[in-house]
Amino acid sequence: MSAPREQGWLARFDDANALLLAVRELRALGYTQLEAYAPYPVEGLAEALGPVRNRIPLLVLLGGLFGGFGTLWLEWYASVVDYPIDVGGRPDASWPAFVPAALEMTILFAALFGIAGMLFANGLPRLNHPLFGVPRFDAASRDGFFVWLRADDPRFDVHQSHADLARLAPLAIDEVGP
Amino acid sequence: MSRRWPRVSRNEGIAAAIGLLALIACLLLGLHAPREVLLSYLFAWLFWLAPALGSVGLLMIHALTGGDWGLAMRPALFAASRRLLLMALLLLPVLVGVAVLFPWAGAQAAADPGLDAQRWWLNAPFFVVRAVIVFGLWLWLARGMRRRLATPAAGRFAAAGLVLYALTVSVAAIDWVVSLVPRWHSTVFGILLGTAQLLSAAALAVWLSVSGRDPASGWWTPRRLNDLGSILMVLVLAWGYLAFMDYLTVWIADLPSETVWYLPRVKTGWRWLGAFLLLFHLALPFAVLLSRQAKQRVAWLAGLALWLFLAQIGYVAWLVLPGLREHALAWSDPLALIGIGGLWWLGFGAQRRAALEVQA
Repeated sequence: MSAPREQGWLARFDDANALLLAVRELRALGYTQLEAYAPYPVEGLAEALGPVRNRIPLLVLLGGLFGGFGTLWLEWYASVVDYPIDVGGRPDASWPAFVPAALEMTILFAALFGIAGMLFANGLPRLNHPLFGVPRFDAASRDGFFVWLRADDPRFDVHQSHADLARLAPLAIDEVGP
Repeated sequence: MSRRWPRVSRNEGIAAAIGLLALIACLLLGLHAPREVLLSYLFAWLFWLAPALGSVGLLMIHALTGGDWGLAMRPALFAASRRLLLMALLLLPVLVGVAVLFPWAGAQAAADPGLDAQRWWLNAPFFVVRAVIVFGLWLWLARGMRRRLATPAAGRFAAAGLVLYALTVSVAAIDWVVSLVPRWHSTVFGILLGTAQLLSAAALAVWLSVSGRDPASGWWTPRRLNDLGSILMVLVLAWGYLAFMDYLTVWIADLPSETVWYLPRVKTGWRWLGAFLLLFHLALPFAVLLSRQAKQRVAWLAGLALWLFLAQIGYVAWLVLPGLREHALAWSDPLALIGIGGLWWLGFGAQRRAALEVQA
């Protein structure tokens, strides 16, 4: 038995336009936990699915701060505490010279945190998903346009949601999850 | 485009009258302390040159890259680029007072054999000739760009124009700023000043275009506002990067011919201006512009753009003033800023509206 966020109804539509219209209709009905699948990027679909709030920007910021200040600390520790060398009479803690490396590490860590956080937030790595149990879902990479109404939507009701989808005249409605 | 004189609004007329009074006050002060006042004048003049000249650079960059950001700012950039002729005329006091203001033209330098090698470049007649040539080229570029903008030839003109622009800005920067400090040289200074001018022009244009009084304010979608914020971000970072790199290389090499410029800036009270620029001209705008919510809100974006434009006063002061006179600040500084600034806006509103109508 999988969690509600991995269950719901999957409806298949004829083309990109039908998919876009269906998503707008469902949003107008108050559904928020919608997922859409199409074989190619559909213009306007991302906006139609509604605003996405996630914590990736915060993670990127934290990664940048960690990389930057961490590098500054590392440089200071290496050249002041661990192994001080006199270079042309300059101070051990040569802050101006520390900045370029810290800047590069800020960017590197911001990017790494962002990518790792994105993969983690997407639930990866995982080997399977209940969606793949739906017959003909593989058409999403060829000519299938799908909307998945997730069961963890506050407005989700097994019968009502099925009826809502059916009114949009999809090609097929399948159950996701066991 | 019409060649009539632009209509002058009442506020612009008042500003220009105040500006003239301020310049007359500068002149009176200048009778007592010509060098101090000329230095103030050069500082104020460089500050107001930036949005006029930087606008030409931004117009050329936009002709090459395209994008909504340039269309959004175009009316303001157009009007600002029309200030170049005024700025050329206002350079006259500096050209007249060259022997008073610049150490290489003074009597002391004439007796210094160490400066013989640079005399073929740094002499008063050639200085004036260079100023005339540089302004001639800039006026030609500005005019050519305004005429060609909507035509297919804009790209080619802008590509060649930007090369010319970078070279002439370097010449101007060396003449008008670097040569104030004898025996100092810096290879990055021309580009640094050019970037600061682009930043100043972009900040002023963003503020003017976005603020609520604009007739086209309904046109502003969050995405377009975001683009403008990103342009400001790029310029703030480019300027900060170049300024820091200059400091870093000077700090590491520690050679007298380079540190001579930084010593009065970091070893005296001027260091607080440096700290102010670092915190409020680089760190604060960077932090605000990181946030998408701030960039997409008209009030925040307009406020930040105005702040960046005004903070350039501090940066130009940092470039010109330290170490060249006994007192850090003089009464002539604000007077010269107000004086040139008052004249700067003459006819601006009408020229911007004309550019808006052409676009619509």
